[in-house]
Amino acid sequence: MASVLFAVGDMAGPSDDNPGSSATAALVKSLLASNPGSALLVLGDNAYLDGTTQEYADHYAPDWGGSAIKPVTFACPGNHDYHTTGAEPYFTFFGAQAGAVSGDGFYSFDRDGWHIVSLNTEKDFRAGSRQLRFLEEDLAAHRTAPTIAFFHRPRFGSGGHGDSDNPEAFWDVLFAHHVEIALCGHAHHYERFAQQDPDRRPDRKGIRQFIVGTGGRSLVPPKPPDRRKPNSEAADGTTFGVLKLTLDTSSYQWEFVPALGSFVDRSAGPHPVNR
Amino acid sequence: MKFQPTREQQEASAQAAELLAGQADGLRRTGSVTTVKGLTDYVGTLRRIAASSDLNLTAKDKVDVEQATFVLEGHRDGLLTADFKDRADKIESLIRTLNGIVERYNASAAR
Repeated sequence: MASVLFAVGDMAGPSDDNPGSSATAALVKSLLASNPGSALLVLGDNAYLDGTTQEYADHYAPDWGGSAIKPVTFACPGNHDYHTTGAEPYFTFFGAQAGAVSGDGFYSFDRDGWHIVSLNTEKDFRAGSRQLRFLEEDLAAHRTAPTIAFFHRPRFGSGGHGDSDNPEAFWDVLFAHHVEIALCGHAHHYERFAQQDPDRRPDRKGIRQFIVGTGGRSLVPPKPPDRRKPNSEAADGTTFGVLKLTLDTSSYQWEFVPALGSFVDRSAGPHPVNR
Repeated sequence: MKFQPTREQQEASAQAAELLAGQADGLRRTGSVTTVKGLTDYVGTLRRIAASSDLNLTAKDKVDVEQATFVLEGHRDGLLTADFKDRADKIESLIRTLNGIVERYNASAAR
């Protein structure tokens, strides 16, 4: 039976600057209800502007923190979460849903035959670091499972932030272990890339990266199509919404579901895993 | 936190400060006030890092450095779009080095 995951980042905050948060949360609630057993991956920068305890309470919790969403949420931290010392409000709010070891920001779990890894792009992200050793060992122990990695800053992007170096070492390890999908936020638009290797070469066994920074923070349009990064297949900066992944053990499908706006992006059919 | 920047981080901070100071000056001459204030804060923090091999770095200082990298991302991408690849690569190197300051702060401040 197929498993369903939803993913989105960059959500809640003062309504002037985060006009899409409530509508996107309402959509997520509806989608979770209509897809029993599904879960939500939040991609960081969940509570603007500084990820404080007050901002989590005032902005994130009312829409995203209730019983319909929070119990099935898995988190990764963003740069705004680290505006507080050690991202403590983030770790306190999510508890075990941010990993068993509070403060690390990296962990993994299994779900319906898929392996899911949450990583921290804000610290400890270089080759040889404790996080990279965890990632190597974790993926080596799950060689046969199709895998999703989710972390805040995208390695490649055609939006306001462009590319980020922080996850560079992640990509080397993820690619070496044939990881299927990388999910990221940080840039406030949607973008889907073709499978590629860490040097941007198209590769049918490479990583497919999605940017889904469309959870509520004001959108920033990506560059026009002729100026986008190599292997960018679809991008939009007009529509708030979430990514839906339908996962089978031998294939996956994606759909960007709009909450405010009309952009949609869905796979033509099942896409084979890299195993 | 007490912070001892590397020589490379000091040099990157100095260069980034010059780039942002130039941008702030141009914006000031074309009527900006709020943005100039923000950029000037980032420049001040970068210059302080550039000038000292041992300093106290606050959470605000760290955010200033991070915000500076975001502004520099725009410089990098604009230059790349205009086919100034060599200079874009140099700015990319500055961003990478400044991100090292942010990472060290995040790691040191973690519990």
